[in-house]
Amino acid sequence: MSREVIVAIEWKTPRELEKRVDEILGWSTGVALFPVRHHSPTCARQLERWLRKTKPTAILIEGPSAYNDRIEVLSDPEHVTPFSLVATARRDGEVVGRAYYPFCDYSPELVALRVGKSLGAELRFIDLSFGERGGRHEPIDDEHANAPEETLGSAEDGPLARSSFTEALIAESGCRDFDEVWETLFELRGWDLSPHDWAVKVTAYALLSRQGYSAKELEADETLEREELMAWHLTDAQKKHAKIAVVTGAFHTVALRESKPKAKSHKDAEVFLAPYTFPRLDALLGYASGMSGPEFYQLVWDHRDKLTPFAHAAERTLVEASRLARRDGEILGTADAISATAFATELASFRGRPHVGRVEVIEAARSCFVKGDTGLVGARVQSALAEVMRGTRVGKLGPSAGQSPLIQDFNQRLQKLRLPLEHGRPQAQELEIWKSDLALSRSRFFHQTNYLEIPFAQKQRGPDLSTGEDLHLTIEHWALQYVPEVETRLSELSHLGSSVEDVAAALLVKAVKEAEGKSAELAKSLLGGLVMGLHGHAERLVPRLAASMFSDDDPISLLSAAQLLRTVLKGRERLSASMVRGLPQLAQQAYVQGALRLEKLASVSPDRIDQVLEALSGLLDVALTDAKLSPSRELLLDHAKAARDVARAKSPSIFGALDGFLLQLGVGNLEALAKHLESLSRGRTKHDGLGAYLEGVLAVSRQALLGDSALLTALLEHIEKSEWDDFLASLPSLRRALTRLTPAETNAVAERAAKELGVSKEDATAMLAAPPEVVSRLSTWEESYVDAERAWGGNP
Amino acid sequence: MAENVLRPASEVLYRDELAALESVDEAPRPASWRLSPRMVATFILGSRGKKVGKKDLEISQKFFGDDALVERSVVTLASHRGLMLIGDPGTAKSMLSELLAAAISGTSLLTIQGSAATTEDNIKYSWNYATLLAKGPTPDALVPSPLYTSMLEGKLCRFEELTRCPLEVQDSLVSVMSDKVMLVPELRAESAVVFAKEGFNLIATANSRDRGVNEMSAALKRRFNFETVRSISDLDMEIELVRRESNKLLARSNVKVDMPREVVEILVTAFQEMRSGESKEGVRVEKPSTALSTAEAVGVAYAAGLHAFYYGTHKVEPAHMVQHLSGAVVKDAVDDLPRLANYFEVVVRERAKRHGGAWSALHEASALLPKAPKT
Repeated sequence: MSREVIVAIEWKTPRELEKRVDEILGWSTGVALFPVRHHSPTCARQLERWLRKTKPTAILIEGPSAYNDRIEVLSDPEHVTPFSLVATARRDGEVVGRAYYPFCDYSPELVALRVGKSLGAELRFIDLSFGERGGRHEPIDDEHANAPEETLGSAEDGPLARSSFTEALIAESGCRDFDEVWETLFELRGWDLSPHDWAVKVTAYALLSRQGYSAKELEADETLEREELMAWHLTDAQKKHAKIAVVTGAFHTVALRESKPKAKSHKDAEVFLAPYTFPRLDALLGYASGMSGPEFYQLVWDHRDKLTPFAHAAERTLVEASRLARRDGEILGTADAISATAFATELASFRGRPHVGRVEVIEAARSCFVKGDTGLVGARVQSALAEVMRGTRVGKLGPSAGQSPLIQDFNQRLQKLRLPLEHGRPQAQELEIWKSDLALSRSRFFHQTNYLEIPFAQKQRGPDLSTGEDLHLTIEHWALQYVPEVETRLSELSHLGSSVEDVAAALLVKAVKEAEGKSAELAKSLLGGLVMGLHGHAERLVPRLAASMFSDDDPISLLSAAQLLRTVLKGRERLSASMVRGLPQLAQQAYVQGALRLEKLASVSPDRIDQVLEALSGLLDVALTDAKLSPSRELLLDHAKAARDVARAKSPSIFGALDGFLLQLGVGNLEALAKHLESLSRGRTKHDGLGAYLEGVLAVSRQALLGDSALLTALLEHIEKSEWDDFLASLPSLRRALTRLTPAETNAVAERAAKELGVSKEDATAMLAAPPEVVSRLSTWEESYVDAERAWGGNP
Repeated sequence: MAENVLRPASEVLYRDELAALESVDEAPRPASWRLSPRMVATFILGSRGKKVGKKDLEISQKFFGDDALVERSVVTLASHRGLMLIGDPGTAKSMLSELLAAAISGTSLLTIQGSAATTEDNIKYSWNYATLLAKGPTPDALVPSPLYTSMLEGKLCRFEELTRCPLEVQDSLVSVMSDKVMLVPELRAESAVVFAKEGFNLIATANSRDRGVNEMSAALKRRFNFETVRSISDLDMEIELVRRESNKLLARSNVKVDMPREVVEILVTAFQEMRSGESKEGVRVEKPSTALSTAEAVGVAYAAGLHAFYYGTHKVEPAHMVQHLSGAVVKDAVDDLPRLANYFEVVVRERAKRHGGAWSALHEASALLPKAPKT
């Protein structure tokens, strides 16, 4: 694009371009077009001024036409912004995509609705709804099919921002990205223009941007299909109205008059209204700098009648950010806030911008508040600023919005499952989930509500399929209670979907995304999905989980994932897990990958030792009892031996566990273990090391101490030979180790020990007949020991 | 100042550009500034093809990669706060400070070079002892520091490597920066106070990577706006810059060699990837302990050029780069050599297989890398 044209838009529009733009806008005709950009305060202000002046009798607005029957609801003065229309796309009944059309006070579309209502104009949305669109938003491939993705409804910014003209404009204007270009040219410089001049500028820009696109590209992203419907609405409205205003994204404005009108039916379109929040809006807008600043623009909007609304917003933002950063420990005073405000103003005028913009506010905070390398010490200031720019506003819907679809769905589910709805005392529910389909459906519903933290159903006892505990039980016991908090929570969740199942699925997908590369958490999610009856979603987790196993470096995570998957396979029929293909292979893969990383076990932090022991005993169990899932014997032995060599110097308990592990697999003998025990009793960590080693051994191989055990002999030898003080010091860890035995085993070991020590059973009990004061002293000591150990374990 | 020096000061090197800008500058200037703020930025960022002044001179771009940083720096210098440029070694902090001083005050020579041996005398003023003994503490006997002169004349003072000075010495700047006043208690009343003339300000630079650097007190930090100067992240821009600068150096050494773009491209790509810890293909590579700045890339290209000229075919090959690459990457850490070898192993080898060309040549030359000592 030539420099002249760019300069033309910037300074003085050449006559030809202006003529063309005026034709497009058609403000002297019965159909006047007004170009907008979503969430642009300047645009909203210009539109407001223009509508009040022209007073059209009908206003056509870019928005999902499937919502037209309820369009009045949107301008209810009792709603508190932000709120959002949510459109869902389904494939085979399952949600595959979700688009948001958020509204805040400075959304031009909402301004059009509000002003239109006050003028008594007919209001109409004229765009396709997300769910009606054919191609792009349906899952493209399996990679994207896993998630109901969040998409910003009708993103004109897309083509505008991507156009080759915009690229040239960025290079020419000295701005860094599209957001800065837009803000500079249209928000800041546009603020003081007349609505006409503003519309001409924006339309000219859109016109030049659109030239860079071929019809094919526009067809592919459904732009043309949408414009055909918009044109149809326009023709239709002209039958009744002589003065029409059309408010659409600038990118569509320039093509609307030439589009072929074509009606569309609202097949499967599902659109509903839900409260929204500024943090979500901020995340959705996806600005290049990472800060879109809904609250900053709200401040501008709120002060739009003042002389310098931008300066006011900048000042408020910087003062508030310095306050927040100070709260977090930055040394910042009022002087810094003053100097940052001045800096922002200076920077803006240096750049020739008539007002202070978002970009200058961000830069001023970085320059004046961050005292050091921004990458190293700037985090607190950055997050304080982001928090202030983002804001914390939460929208609320007035009574006209009616019950949200989610609450309706919840109530319908209760009815369908024949469950009580009245408020009152908790009611008990007993579900024979293996026998009755109704019970199974109820159980799945309860699990869904639990997952969504809706305080409705509480599980008392019963088989826990997600941990594999109590699988022998056949009845699930639940307590149900419908409390007011149920509705509150449902309202909070309502922007995520229109049914409990959809919302549970959406949160599951979110959890999965956050657990990328963490096998155990992914396996937990998979299991959660099965328990909730979301089998379709669970199945899509299989490839993700398989992929994560290769990148997961943590053997504990891998082995617990394997363990969880094994639980699923055990309760396969109950969970209908056979519906999910590939689970056995997945479980086997998890064991193999875990075994391959056994060497890493020795380096885990001491607070995870219990997890290591559990993982090893699980691995041993599968190796001894389940040939189908177990890794090959050679692989296990190789890696367990290598891991033992690492653990020898690092962790006596893991060393012991691996000794026990190998012993169970038929490698090594008790004499070798006895030697290890003996050498530990002489080593640096003799007091704790001995017990830790023994605990490790017993965690995977309790038999090691039973019968004619060389290990027991070595233990007794240590006890006999060691000094009294040493013995006392090693006693706590030894006792802890021996708790791994069952009472019967303890008894057998004790008898065996008595025999080896040459004391009879009677002597042993006789030795206990100590004088009362000794007994009391010993029990006091024991109590304090137990307390100390509990505290050590983190359970005071 | 004579011009046949090894490295002339910026105001001498760019005398014509500065004069041209001054001749067309009609915008208001802050007191004592030689150019208006926007012209200062134009001097540093270049006139982008526009011809300036009677001689139709195009202003060359001198600082690359972050235009906004230059704009912010100029705005800071026009305010009451000092400018602190912070960043890895070799990111052109000192050059930027020099250019700013040359454009704003017409001199970049009012400079204090900070080190562990810097004293308060070096920062404020000292005495000519012969005169002091003869006449007592009079203005004649006083030897002004660059800071003292800057305050008197309303100019920019540069303070290089501020954090290398001991903390207590740095703090002698606090009152100067906040009150814009320096007290000389030895002199009599009328000369005992030096008030800074309008236009005075301070540009300091500091390294954020080196060990053994002193912290700054919160009191002093408050008097500065900090700007973090980073390595250039735009590949093409850095390639052009490395080519241009190394060719300039080679020309100055009367070395005529051919510096092919693709050879510079692999050098700069390797630098950027090791700096960021990730290859273009998303493979993780270990970051070396050195900063791997653009200046170092220029150094490697220059050395490779010399090598090709004196010992080679007058054409720079990837092999020449390899020989000097290890010198740039491996500074003091024994660990850096395996990191470099690892980069060749996981990134260069793959790329040689897939793209061939210069990457193949680079991979073949990897035999020239020094071997890591056995530990």
